[in-house]
This record gives sequence, C-alpha cells and structure tokens, in this order.
Amino acid sequence: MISRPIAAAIRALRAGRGRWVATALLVVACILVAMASHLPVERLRVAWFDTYQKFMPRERNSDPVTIVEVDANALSRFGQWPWPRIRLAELIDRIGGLGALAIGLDMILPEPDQTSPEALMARVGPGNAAVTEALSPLPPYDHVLAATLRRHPVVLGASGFDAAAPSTSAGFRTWPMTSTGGPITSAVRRYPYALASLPRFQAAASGQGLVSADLERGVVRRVPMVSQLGPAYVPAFVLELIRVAIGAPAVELEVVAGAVAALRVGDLRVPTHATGKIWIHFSRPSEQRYVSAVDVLDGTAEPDAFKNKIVIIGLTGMGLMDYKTTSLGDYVPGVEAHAQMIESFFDGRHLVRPSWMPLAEASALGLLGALLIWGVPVLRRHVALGLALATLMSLGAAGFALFRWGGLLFDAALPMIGLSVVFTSLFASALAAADHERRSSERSLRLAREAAARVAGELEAARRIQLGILPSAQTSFPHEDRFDLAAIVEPARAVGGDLYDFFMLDEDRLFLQIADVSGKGIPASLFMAITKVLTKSVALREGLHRDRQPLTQANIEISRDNPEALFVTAFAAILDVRTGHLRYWTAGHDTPYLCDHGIVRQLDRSSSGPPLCVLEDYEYPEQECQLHPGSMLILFTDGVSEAQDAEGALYGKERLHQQLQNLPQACTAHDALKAIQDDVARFVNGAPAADDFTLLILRWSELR
Amino acid sequence: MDLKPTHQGSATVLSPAGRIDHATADAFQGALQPHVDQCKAGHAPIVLDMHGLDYISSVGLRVLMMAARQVKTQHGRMVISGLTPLVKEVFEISRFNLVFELFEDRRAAIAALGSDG
Repeated sequence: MISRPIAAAIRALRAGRGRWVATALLVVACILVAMASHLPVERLRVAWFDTYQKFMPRERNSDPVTIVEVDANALSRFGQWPWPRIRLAELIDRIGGLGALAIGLDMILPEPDQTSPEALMARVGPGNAAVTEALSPLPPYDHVLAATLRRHPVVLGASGFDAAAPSTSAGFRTWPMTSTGGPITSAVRRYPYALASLPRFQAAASGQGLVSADLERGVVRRVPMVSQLGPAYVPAFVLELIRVAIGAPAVELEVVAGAVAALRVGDLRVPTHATGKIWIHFSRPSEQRYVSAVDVLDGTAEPDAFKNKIVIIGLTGMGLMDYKTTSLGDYVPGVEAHAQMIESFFDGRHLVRPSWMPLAEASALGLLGALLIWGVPVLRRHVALGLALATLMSLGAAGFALFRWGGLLFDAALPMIGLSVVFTSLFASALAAADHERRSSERSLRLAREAAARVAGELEAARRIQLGILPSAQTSFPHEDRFDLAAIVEPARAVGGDLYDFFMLDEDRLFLQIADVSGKGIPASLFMAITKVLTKSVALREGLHRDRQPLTQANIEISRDNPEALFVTAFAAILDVRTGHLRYWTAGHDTPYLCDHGIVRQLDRSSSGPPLCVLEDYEYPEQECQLHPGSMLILFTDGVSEAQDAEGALYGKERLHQQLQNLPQACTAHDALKAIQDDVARFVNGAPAADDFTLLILRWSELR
Repeated sequence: MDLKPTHQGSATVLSPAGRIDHATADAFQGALQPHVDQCKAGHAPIVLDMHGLDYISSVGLRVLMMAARQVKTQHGRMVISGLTPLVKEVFEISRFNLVFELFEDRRAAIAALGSDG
C-alpha cells in the first residue's frame, strides 16, 4: 500500500504527463537563475566560471610587467621587513635607473621609519653625544625615500577598510578621475576608511590606487577597478600604474545609464561590471615575471626585465602573509594578481558579464526547459534522454564557447541544474505513467484471463449439463434387441441449440425427437433445454393417449415463455417397436431419411407444420409410415445437410443421400452415424462448423 | 445490408440479396426494421423480393418471423416473392410458406396487393 500523500504526489506528477509540475519547477528555476547573484547559489555559478578558467587559462601574449619580489633570499640577505626606507629607496632608484615606465609599490608605508637616524637619536636620548654626533648629519630616511619617489614614476598602493583602525584615515591623495556619461547610481564598492602611506610619500608619488579586493572564500576573482572613498572615486592600483606608465592625465570613468561601463586610460579601455568590478582571467603562474630584489640591489638583474616595463615591488617571502588563491586554484603572491590584470589589459583579454546575462541565462533555461517539457512526455525514453543530454551539453558548450571567443561569462551551471530538475521531474512522471500503465494493463489482462477462465469454466459446465440432459444411445437400452440407436450432438460453440431425444413411452412405444432452435450459443442452448424438457413431459403425458399429438401441445407450452421470439424446428415420432409402425409429426424440420433395403427416401412432409413457436395454435397433423425389418431412419439437422467447407460450399442433401445409399446392408446405427460423420468431416476439411451438428439414427430390427 | 427499396404501385419493394445467415442476419434485421415500422394499416405494404437471395438460415427466418409478427400487430401487410430454389426449399421444409404469403415474382405480388387493396 502506498500512503495517501505519496499517492497524491504521484498523481500530481502524472497529471498532464507531468507537464504541470515540470512547468512550475521550470518557472521557479528561471526566477532563481535570474536572481542568483543575490542568492547563496551564486557560489555554484562562480565555481562554474572557475571551471572555464581551469580549462582555458589565459595565454600570456605580452610581458608588460615585472615583479620585483622581496623574497626569502632578500629577507635573509638584507634583514627583516620592513626594510629601512633607504634600502627601499635604493631599490626604486635601481629599478628607475633600468628604465621602468612605472614602479608600483604593492605595500603600504603608513608609519615613519623607526630605523631612521632621528628616530634612533630620539630613542637613544639627547645625552649620548657620540650617537648624536654620528647621526645628526644624516637625513631622515623617510626624506630620502620621498626624494626617490619624486625622481621616479612611482605609484603607491593603498587599502580600503570598512572599519576604522589606528592608522586609517578618511581619504588619501588621489589624482582626479574624469567621468563621462553622468552620475553613477550603481553599487560601486565603497570604503569609509583607507590605509595609505605617509603624506610625505603620497605627496612625492606620481599616483596612488587601491590594492583592495574582496576575497570570495579566500579566492580572488573580482577586483574593483574603481572604488568610492568617502565622496571621491578612486582608481585601482593597476589603472594608476598604467596611467603613470603612459603618462595619461587621468583615469576616465565611462558611465552608461548610471552604471559603470568601463574605465579608460589613454587608449586602453577596460570594460567592467556595473559596479566597476572586473573578473580576472588568470594565466598559469610564471616564474618569468619575477626578479628577486637581491638581484636588483646587486646589480645582476637582466636590464631587459625593466626597460619600458611596469615594475611592481611586492612581498613574496612566506612570512609576509600576502598570498592569495586564484580562480585556477593556484596559491600565488597577492602581487601576482596585479601583474596578471595588467597583462590581460595589454592583451585585450577582458572577461565581462553584462548586466543582461542573468536574463539571457534564464531565457536559455526557459527555452530549453520548454523543449524538454514538450518533448520528453511524447518521445521514446532513450530519445528523451538523448534530448536532455543534448540540451545540457549545448548549454555547457555555449558557455565554454562564449568564454573562449567572447570573454563572456555565461553561467551554464545553474541552467543545467534547472534543466536536470525539470527533466528528472518529467522523466519521473513518465516512469510513473509507464509503471501505472503497465500495472493497469497487467491488471486488465489478469481480469480478462480470469473472466475468460470463468466463462470457459461456466460454459464448459453448461456444455456438460446440456450434453448430459441428452440420453446416451449406448446405455439407454442395454437389453434391447428390437432396435438399435446412435446419436450425436456437436455444438458449433461450447453450447448449442440442437437436441435429440428418445425414450420409451411404454413397453412397446419408442418416442424419437430431433429439434433445432433458431440461433446458437447460450440463448439457443437455454431454449433447447426448455424445449427438451417440455416436449418430453408433454409426450409422456399425452403419449398415453393414442389420439393425442405431442407437438401440438408442446408448441402451446413452449410458445408461452418465449420473450426472445426464438423458434424451434422439430421432428417427433412414435415407433411401435413390435410392428414397426411409425407415427410422426413435423414442425418446420426436414424429414428424416429412410433407408429401406437399398432404397433411400425422405419421409413424406406434405403435412408438415411450421416450426414450434411460430403459430401458437397450430394443429400439427400426424403422418405415418411402416418400417420394414432392417430399415434405418436417419434424423438430422441442417448442421449436417448444410455443413460448409472453407469456400462456403454446402455439403448438401444430394451427397447425404448418396452416402446413405452407399451404406452396407447390414450396418448398425452406429456404423451409419460414423460413416456420415466421417464423410461430412472429409467434406468440410477442417473448416469451423457454422451450425450445430446433430444426427439420430434408428435401425429397426426384425422381431425375434 | 442494402435492401434497395423501390416503390412500385402502392407497395414498397425490398430486395435482399446474397446470403442471410448468422453473419448477416443482424444487418438484414437492421435494414428491414425501418420499413417494418412504417408498414401499418393504410400505409404501403412491403414486398420482399427474394429473387437475388441465395440462402437463408433459420436465423434469417427468425428475423422474417419477427417482422411478420410486428406487421401483423400493426395491421400492415408484408408478402414475399421470387424465391430461388434453395430458399424455396427452406421455406417449404420450415413451413414458412404457412406464415407468409408467397408469390412467384414481384409482378404477381404487386398485382395481388393491388387487387386486394
């Protein structure tokens, strides 16, 4: 037993071949896809985008950036970080001297240098004359660095903060951004606080930009190219680097309909999301980008790595904790993300996800889902499965193709999940329907079999009863030697409308009857039984009086209960077995043949009457005939004379007549019956009988 | 079964053809019934012209018998004409010649109906 709620659910699934449920699921899925960026399921989407990157990482075409890394070697050689500012100044001077277009500091210097001479003097105290004398001629290191910054095209990194900290400020020095297209109304990343380097450095630098990016579960994917710091828009660190490198006056904001469309630096245009963010297309990490600060300071670095390049000084020493995971799953120094962004800008490789993309994804889901909802219920199962796989694969392939050739981030994952849900629902209801159909056809087959078995059983029982009410020729007169009888009924169906009958009215008189109810099957068989019983009872009652006529009275009795307007042809006779005198009555039935020593003829039917139940008050005239010893009387129904072969030809009375003539003189009733039966069987040659086949043969013998 | 009804004189002539047996008796009855329903006192009598009928079984006779009974209760008249030898023998054996008025052919039947009517 299935519980009621489950049965209700299965019915709901099957309704409309599952299309209603599937459509509802599809609508929900489309809405979820359209709104996914605000929902937790977005994680699946960005994971899918990461998949694109893993299969198709960015090819590095240009090599515009060199990273000078403060690596483990540099730390062991020059000591702990932060280095004295003069060391940093020396590094910058060296890089600048090698012809770098711009030098970025992927680090923030918010505090004064504690190793600077004046700081040391303050710490040691004014009383230590030797120290004061040694240190006082030296310039403060911060001044040295500031002077270096002023000599070279240096861009400082700064960081945005959501909460105030001891070193944060409400703003920093920015170079003005210009804007086209009106005010921005979209949700640009806003930082209330910033952490920036000392104002002295800011004043000396050529540019400053934000290095901040919101990590997504530790992965850097989306980086704002413009952020809002208080009321001001500030560019990303990488854009400032490019601006300084090419000498452009300002980073330009391209605004369309209140949303950030792109940022421009000179001829470079970086398309962005409406919020001003870009997706980074990562390449595989490459050692070629990196030059150790040790080599720069030693003067052993390859000059080509710096000439006309953008150089970013970053920290890669493991203890410095600036490591990020990329979309490719690589764990790289944070500075690499900046380098990769600039590389991809120079290569013109931008990943974009236009604001209409969620709608496109939802539409694709809607269209393909509708295709499934149309197709799955009407297609064969493996074709439906193929269609579903094709839709899934086309979505995935479209996603990869758009990524590869359009740089478009088309989310195939969520629509694929939606399609799978829709398909599963449809398939489940198709299976449920098939299961239901199978069960119901099994049930109806079982019922049909049971019914057939029952009917067959009942018909078999009816047949046994019907044949059982007919007397048996072999056993009825065990010691009779004045006559001998043979009889057979073969109903065309299980039961039939033919009958024969014989019984002794008294010691000397034998009653014989053959009859044929118009019709076949069960109605005829019931009427046959009635006819048999009524005729016998009438015959036994009336037959005692020699002047009474059994068929006349039987006709009255049978006609009384005949709602189906059936009628019965009948031949009845009474034989005086001592004398061979035969009295007979005919009701629309063909009269028997009489074989009398080689002479075959039909009994006279000139006084024949209509079938029983045709004319209710008909007086059936009596006729008579004298048998001779050895005479044979053959009573038959039209199932014999009108037996048909497969072509519909009739056996015919001529052939019956001929067959009777060919019978040997001394043959018994049984032999005669067998001969006729065999000849008819030869004639029909296996064709199904159309009518009941009945023979009753009497042979009257000589008195002994 | 198409009885090809025609009107000749005052009579409706129906012409069953082929065989009337277990397979065709229901069709014959269905075709005959509308005419039988119309065969009332004062309406056109029916002539069943059977010259095209090859065979009739007892089931066909039963249809004829029921039609005859209905016509009788409606005080209409139905006669049969043009029996082929085999059908004629069936009628003789079954003594349906006692139930129906039989005529040699259609003309004789219509003439008889005309002279009686």
